Order: sequence, then structure tokens, then C-alpha cells
Amino acid sequence: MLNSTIKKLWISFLFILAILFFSDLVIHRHDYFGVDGFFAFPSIYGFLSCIFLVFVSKAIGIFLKRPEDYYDE
Amino acid sequence: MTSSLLHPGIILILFGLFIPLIKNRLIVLLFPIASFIILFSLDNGTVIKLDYGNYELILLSIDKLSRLFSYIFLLILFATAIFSINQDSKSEISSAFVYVGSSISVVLSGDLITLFIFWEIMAITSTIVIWSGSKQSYYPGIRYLAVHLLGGSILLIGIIGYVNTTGTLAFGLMSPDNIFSYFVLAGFLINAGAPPFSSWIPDAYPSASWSGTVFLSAFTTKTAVYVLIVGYAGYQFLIYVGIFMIFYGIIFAILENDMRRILSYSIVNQVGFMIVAVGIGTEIAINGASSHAFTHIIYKALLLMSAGSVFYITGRTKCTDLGGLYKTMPLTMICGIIGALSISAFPLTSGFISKSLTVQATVYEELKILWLLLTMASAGVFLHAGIKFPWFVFFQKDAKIKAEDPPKNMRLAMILLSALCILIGVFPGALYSILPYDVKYLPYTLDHVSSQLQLLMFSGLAFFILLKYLKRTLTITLDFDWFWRKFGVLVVNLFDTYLLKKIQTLIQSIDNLGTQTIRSLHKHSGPSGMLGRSWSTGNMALWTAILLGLFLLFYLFA
Repeated sequence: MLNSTIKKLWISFLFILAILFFSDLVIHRHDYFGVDGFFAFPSIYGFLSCIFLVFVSKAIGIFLKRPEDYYDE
Repeated sequence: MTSSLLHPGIILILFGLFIPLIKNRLIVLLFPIASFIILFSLDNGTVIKLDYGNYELILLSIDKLSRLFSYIFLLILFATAIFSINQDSKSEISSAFVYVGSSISVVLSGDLITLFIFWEIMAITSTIVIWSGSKQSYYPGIRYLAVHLLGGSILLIGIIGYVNTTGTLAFGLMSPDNIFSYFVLAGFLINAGAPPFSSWIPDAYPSASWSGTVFLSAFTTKTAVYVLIVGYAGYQFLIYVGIFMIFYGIIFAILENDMRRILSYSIVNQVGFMIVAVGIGTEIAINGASSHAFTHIIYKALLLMSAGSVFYITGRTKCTDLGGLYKTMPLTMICGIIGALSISAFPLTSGFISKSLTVQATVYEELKILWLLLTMASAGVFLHAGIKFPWFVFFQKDAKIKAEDPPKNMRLAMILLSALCILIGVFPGALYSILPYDVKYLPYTLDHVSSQLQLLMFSGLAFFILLKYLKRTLTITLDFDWFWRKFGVLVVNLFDTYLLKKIQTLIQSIDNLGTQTIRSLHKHSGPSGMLGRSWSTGNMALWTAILLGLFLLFYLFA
């Protein structure tokens, strides 16, 4: 893909993210547990969750990753 | 209560056995339709009974839940039969039909013995589906069969014990006070892909053919979800099992390189959600588990059809060998993305209206930690399946592979399932109306849609920011199966070379000792030995007379 297309895709992606992040100003999200009433909670929690999961799997990978032919039959 | 002569599952099994004789593969498509018509014509409450010795077996007993699972099994059989019209392996298609027929028979069975019989037919026929793949399928198939026969034996112990101690054959909510309930539970959980046996899914399924994996993805784990709903709804222990499976699936899929293995780990993850819901056990949670099973079967088959098409056309399955196929396989890409959006529960797709029920169940039960874990997992699903699969296969780099969209029948099957993913997502009422309990839940509120979009889009942002950490490597990840694939082999080898010799000398010395003992016994008690040789009758009579005489004297003087 052309670099300019990629740039345009990134700009529109970031634009959508911004709208969603600030949608909490307009939409009243129902909070059930307190913590989820925090401003833009789903955005922040989703982002941090993914970072957490990627690094946990990286850490587990250090111990459990093996070359493909490990079990050669 | 009405009775019937026709059984939708057993008929499918019989059809399946005749498939090798059929030349025109379009005829095969009529079988699931025929089975559907039979099922559709039977009212809830219909039974088929069979007297077997002292037992009365209930081959068929229809209620809302078993009907729901049978419908989705038939639907996906039909779609996969279209997808696999150009699959030349007759053994695969034939055994797949028997496999699906026995899955439906498990779901419709009303007693534990019937359930067990069809459970075992499933294990055998699904192994044949795996073996129909290629030469490399042999060992994964053996491992698959071993795990399922182990599970089947544990289940059998449980069933025999349960029937003997409770005196009832009927399959319903299992008594938590009976120890044998837990054997049955263990047997069910092994088929669901629960730890420590989860690895049979990513080990065996991706070694089947491009169509075989699609057949396999739907039935064994979802039949297990069905029996867990019936037998173990509300068992809290299942919540922990489910949570483990959810995060196991995500983490192992992140580390995986093979696209069909990524999607197999994702099956464990999704079944984990359903098992959590079974563990919660409230009406909305059971609706969540069953609707999630329904929609999951569709979008996972769609994802595996998309991956299967890529494999069929390019012969490649590793992310490191793939990329840039959006140009040459646009339809496969679009259908794959629709499946990926559905599994991630994007609004307007089937995943959104089904998984939400389970998440909502945690809200009603005020299970805060569980809610936080499930929400984190929803973000993780988008990460490991929703973006990872389409990104590495269709975009990423241009791997310069010559490719085109697959043949017409494969395209048609993918379009059919894509349409269903969206239709169910846009019109949730149809699915909600066939769930076991009444649904009072509205998935499309501004609040819910905005929360879900925030969660998913920011997960997407995290994916692209972390892309360099997600780059695939030519590796596999060790699992519990290491214990029997590596450690077990080491133990056997050790035994062979070292222990066996020790044991041989030990046996030899025991043997020698034995021989000596027998020799000395032979010397004294053998035919010519002092104690063993036979005496003449005269001698015997004489000695007896002497002994009797002595006895008489002793008696007189004592």
C-alpha cells in the first residue's frame, strides 16, 4: 500500500478514536461497579488490558517458546 | 408427550455411511435438509424410547435447548457440506456426517447410556476426519484419540457409578453430593478443552484438511457445552475453569504463528466464556452460554473457511509465510474480516448480541472481578483473533504469493455464513426467541454500543502500537502435552536403556532362586524323593494299623 494511503488511514483511525474517547461527554454510560463510571473507562481499560496481555504472553513465551521442530516425529 | 419413529441424528448417521457410494456430491446437501425437516416436525416433549434389558433408554427427548443445538449443528453441517463439495476425500465427508449425526444424537439423548454410546462414536469418527487430512495427520490423530478415549473411560466410570448409586439413568442436573458426578464432569470437561488437556484442540484440528478443520471446529466442544448446561449449570467451580481457558486461549494465540492454530486456541478461549456462563448458571447466563455457542459455531466456521481457503489456494498456513492477500483474495478477506468482527463482538454482528448476555449476567450477580476479567478478555479476543488473523494473513507485508479467490462453492459457503453473522447481529430477536429462557435484555443501547466500540477500537490502537512485539517467529509454545509428548518419551527411553536392564538382572536372580527352590523341593518331595514317593498299599495298611493300635493303647491308659 502507498505510504500516503497508510497515512490517511491512520489519521481517520485516530479521528474515530478521539470521537469515541470524548463520547463520554455526551453519552451517559450506566456504571454498575463504580470503577466503570470513570471517564472513558472502556477506552483506557481496553488499551491497558491489551498491553498487559501482550507483555504477559511475551514473558510466558520466554519460558515456553521452542523451535518448530521441537517435537519432530 | 408424543412419540416418533424418526430420529434426526440417527438418520444422519445412516446417510453418512452411504456417502462413499454417492457420485454426485450435491445429493449430500439434501441429508442435513432431510434431518432438519424431521426435527422441525417434532414438537418439544417428543420422545423415542427403547427397552434394553432392565433399562429404558431414551434415544430422543426434545426441549428448547436440545432443539437450539441441533439446529445450529445442522446449519453448519449444511454450510460446510457446500464448502467441501470439491473435497475429494470421501472418508472425510462420510465420517464427518456420522460425527455430526452422533453429536446431534448426544444432544437429543435423554439418558446417560445413550449419551455415552454416541459420545464414543463422535470420538472415533472425528479421528477419521483428522486422519483424512494428510500423512502428517497420523500422530496428532493418535494423540487426539488417546485424550478422548481417556475422557470416555472417565465418563464411563462416572456413569456406571452414578447409575448404580442413584438408581436413575436419566440425564438432568447432576447431584453435587454424589462423587460420581465429578467423574462425569471430568469426562465432559476433557471434550470441552479444559485444562490440562486443552492442547488437543490446537494440536489436532489444524492437522486436518482445509475442510476437515471446519467440520471439527463446531461439534465436540459445543456438545460438551450442551451437556455442561444440562448437568452442571450453577457449579461455581466452572467459573474458574472457564477463566483459565479464556486467558490460556488469548496468550497462546498471541504467541502462535500458524493461522489455523491461532483460530484453534481461540476456540478454547470462546468455550471458556461459555463455561463461565454455565458456572454462573442464572437464566440470563444460560441464555448467554447457548446463544454464544450458536453464534460462535457460525463465525468460527467462517473464520476457518477463510483460513481454509487461503490454505487450499496457497498451501501455506504460517503467518510468517503469508501477507498481502487482500489484493488477490478479496472475497476471502472480506468474509474473514466479518468473522473476525463477529468473534470480537462488534455491534451489528452476531458476537455482540450473544456474548453481551454473559457479561450482563455478571452485572446482575454483582460479580465485579469477573466482570473486569471478562471485559479484559473481550479486548483480548479482538487482539488475538479479531485483528491478528486478518492482519497477518491478508495485510502485513506483501508476500508476493500468486493467488485467487477459491472455487464457487467455497465462496458461496463463506457468503452464506457472513450474511448470517450480520443478520443475527442486526436482528437479534430471531435468535433470542429460540433461547431456552425468555430474554428481557436489549443489546442495542447507546450506552452499551459506545462502551463496546471504545473497548475494541482502543484495543486496535494497542495492537498497532505493539506491532513489533507481536511479530511472528518460527516457534511453537509448550503446553501440558509436553508431559506426554516429551517427558513421557524420556521416561520410556530411560526405562528402555537403563531400568530395563536392572529389572532383567533382578528377574534373572529371582528366577535362579526359584529354580533352586524347586530343585530342592523336587529332591525331597518329587516322585523319587523321601517325602513324595508313593508307597505300596501293604505298607500303608501296616502303618495305619500300627497308628490305630497306638491310638487305642493311648486311649485305654489315659
